[in-house]
Amino acid sequence: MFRILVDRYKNPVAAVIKGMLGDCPEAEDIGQDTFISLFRTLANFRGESALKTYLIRIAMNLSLNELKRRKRMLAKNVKMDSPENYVQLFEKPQQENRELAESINMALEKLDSRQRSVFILRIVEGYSTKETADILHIPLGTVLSRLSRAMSEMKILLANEN
Amino acid sequence: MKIKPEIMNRKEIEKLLSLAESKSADKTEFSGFSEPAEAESKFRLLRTVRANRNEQETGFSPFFTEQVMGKINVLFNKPDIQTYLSMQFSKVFAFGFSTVILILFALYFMHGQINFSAFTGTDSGNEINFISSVFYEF
Repeated sequence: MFRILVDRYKNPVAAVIKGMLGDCPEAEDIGQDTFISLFRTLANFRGESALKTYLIRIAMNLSLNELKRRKRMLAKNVKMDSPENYVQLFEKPQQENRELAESINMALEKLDSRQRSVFILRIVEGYSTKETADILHIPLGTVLSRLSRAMSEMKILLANEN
Repeated sequence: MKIKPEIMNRKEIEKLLSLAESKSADKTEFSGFSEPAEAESKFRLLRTVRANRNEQETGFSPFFTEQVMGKINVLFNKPDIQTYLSMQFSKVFAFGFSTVILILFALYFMHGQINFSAFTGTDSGNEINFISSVFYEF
């Protein structure tokens, strides 16, 4: 039964985690932790939101924790395996789109993690504004204002890239 | 010099999002926005990001489901009562069996100085045995 859940939702979970962290070795571990956490808390799931929303919320929280951990590690000057290179929204970009994809990745990487989470969920993954608000536990207005800032930042960052 | 980002108001953002998600958005007019040029450039950004995302596949390794199920089995699946009892019985049996083996070894290496009948007092020999010595005490 739980195997069916994993099979059904592993791709949306992967999209969110890799969107937040990039295609790094930790992404797979965090994906596994997401489902283990779901299994652990499934009995407490009250059905107030859709199961997918609940699962994506777990994935997003774990990704944000990982970003915080990286930030702490960098602050301590601990050498990691180029964490800044991990954030790659688009896996294995096609040759003709490589430059654009790389520019978007680099711009996204420079966004604040709160703006990035809203941008990934709402724009990249196409969740509705309400779903994004539910996943992140923030009001609708906050989603829109963070999105507005994120888009403006992205526009400037992409302009600077070019 | 850092450029100050142009922040759109919430209503305009909602309108822009719905335009970006509509199928006929290519022919959209942006005159309804307070800054039409700004809205159009953001609209293009949204469409570009979404188009790029749609071209790419994101997923975990093919063994992901198996790995998750394996971890869950290790972390959460405790053995049922029958398995538990059988495991306990095996432990007791192994302990008892090894004790008997040790006693038999001890009897063999002590060349019969200690044997079962000597210990229980049923030894027919002349030598005093453990049980008899207890009786002689009284």
